Amino acid sequence: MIIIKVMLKYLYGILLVSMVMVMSLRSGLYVWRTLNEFVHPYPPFHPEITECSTELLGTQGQLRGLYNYRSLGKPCQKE
Amino acid sequence: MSKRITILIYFLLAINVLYVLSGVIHIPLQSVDVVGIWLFKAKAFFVEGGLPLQTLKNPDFILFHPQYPLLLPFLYSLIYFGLGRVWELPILLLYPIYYVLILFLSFKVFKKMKLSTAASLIYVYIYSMLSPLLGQAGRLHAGSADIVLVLLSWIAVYFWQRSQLTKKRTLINQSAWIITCLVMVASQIKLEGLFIGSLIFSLPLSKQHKLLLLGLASMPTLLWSYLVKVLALPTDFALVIPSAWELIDRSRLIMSWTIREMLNYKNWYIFWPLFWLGLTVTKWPKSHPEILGLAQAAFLAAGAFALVYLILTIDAQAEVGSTVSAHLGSSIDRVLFQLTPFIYPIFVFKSQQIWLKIKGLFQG
Repeated sequence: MIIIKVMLKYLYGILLVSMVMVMSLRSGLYVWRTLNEFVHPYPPFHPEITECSTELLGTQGQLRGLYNYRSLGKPCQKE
Repeated sequence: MSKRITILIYFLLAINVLYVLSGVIHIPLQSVDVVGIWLFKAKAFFVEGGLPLQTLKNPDFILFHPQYPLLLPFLYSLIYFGLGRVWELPILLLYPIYYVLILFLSFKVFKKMKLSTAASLIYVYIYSMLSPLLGQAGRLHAGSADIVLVLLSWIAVYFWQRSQLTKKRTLINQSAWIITCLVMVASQIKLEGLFIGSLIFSLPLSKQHKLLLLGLASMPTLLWSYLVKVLALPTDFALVIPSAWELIDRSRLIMSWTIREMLNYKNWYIFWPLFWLGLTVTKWPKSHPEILGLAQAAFLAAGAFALVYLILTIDAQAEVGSTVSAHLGSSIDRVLFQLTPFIYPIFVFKSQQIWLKIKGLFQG
């Protein structure tokens, strides 16, 4: 039992160090992503969803939420 | 050696801060919760010039939780009122600041656990890399409320820890009042902010004093529930007492979704398996009652979340299992994230215990 516990503690140490190593590699990826975002900005998210755009009335989920957000306070025609 | 590690970790942390800052500036607004709840209501405050009753009572917006407390959207709307227009960027720029504050507070907590600066920074770095934190700090989900609750929880844990490590009555009382105020504020951001009050149970105070603080902490929640009724705000979920069979089914779902999320390495790497392994291979030391108290608070908060899932109805018309499952699937990562201020210091403590043992084995 004691041997198993000691082995598990070693395993814990190895896993923890591995996790930190993977994380530091991922930080490298974040540097690349950050630089890339400055060079190539994201395109606008669903630019077709404009205030009161009637073709999107009736859609559900994320797009509907976006439509509601962009149209809030605008006198749009009701569905 | 430790100086080099310190410099390296500061460098890695700076990368993360720049990463979330870049996300806030460059990633277009798209998170369902941000666009649908938090910034939506902030915009509604601005559009209606005050309490947005017209928007909240609009049946088209029922899925955006009209009954949620309005403190955060109200505070954000003040920025819009100050600017004279709706401009999200100043609000979103607060999120990298929340991130830095969370990391700073966690560092202070680890230092008070008598960890060296280098060791504290390594654990801060591990925490800073967890995806739910990075996401809400600026990568896609900036504008959400959960990170604000996590920040308030870390402040509460900091003062709670202070109350455990001192014998001065004035400091204990001061910490207790600060935690109570934090719970009051947090409960008006999201009702689960009330669960930060689980820390009050393990404060070194008399039972009467704790009850008084708990009563005070829950006052804003009661007042808000009353206002929801008085203002006749529509609610999109309610609490019910399910049948025994339903309770079993829901318990199974809660367990399976929690385990599934804990194994989600994309969000958490192997943090949760390590946390459980750490608990298994170490003992609870009697010389550190504060860690036991924190574990008690974490257990109470987790139990409170589980209870909400057990008695919550999202859509009374739909099949029970399927709706709870869908709700769990979309929210369990945020629940675990909200629990991290209680759980992470325990992880750090256990991790340190194991490191010291391994070091001892090498030296012995």
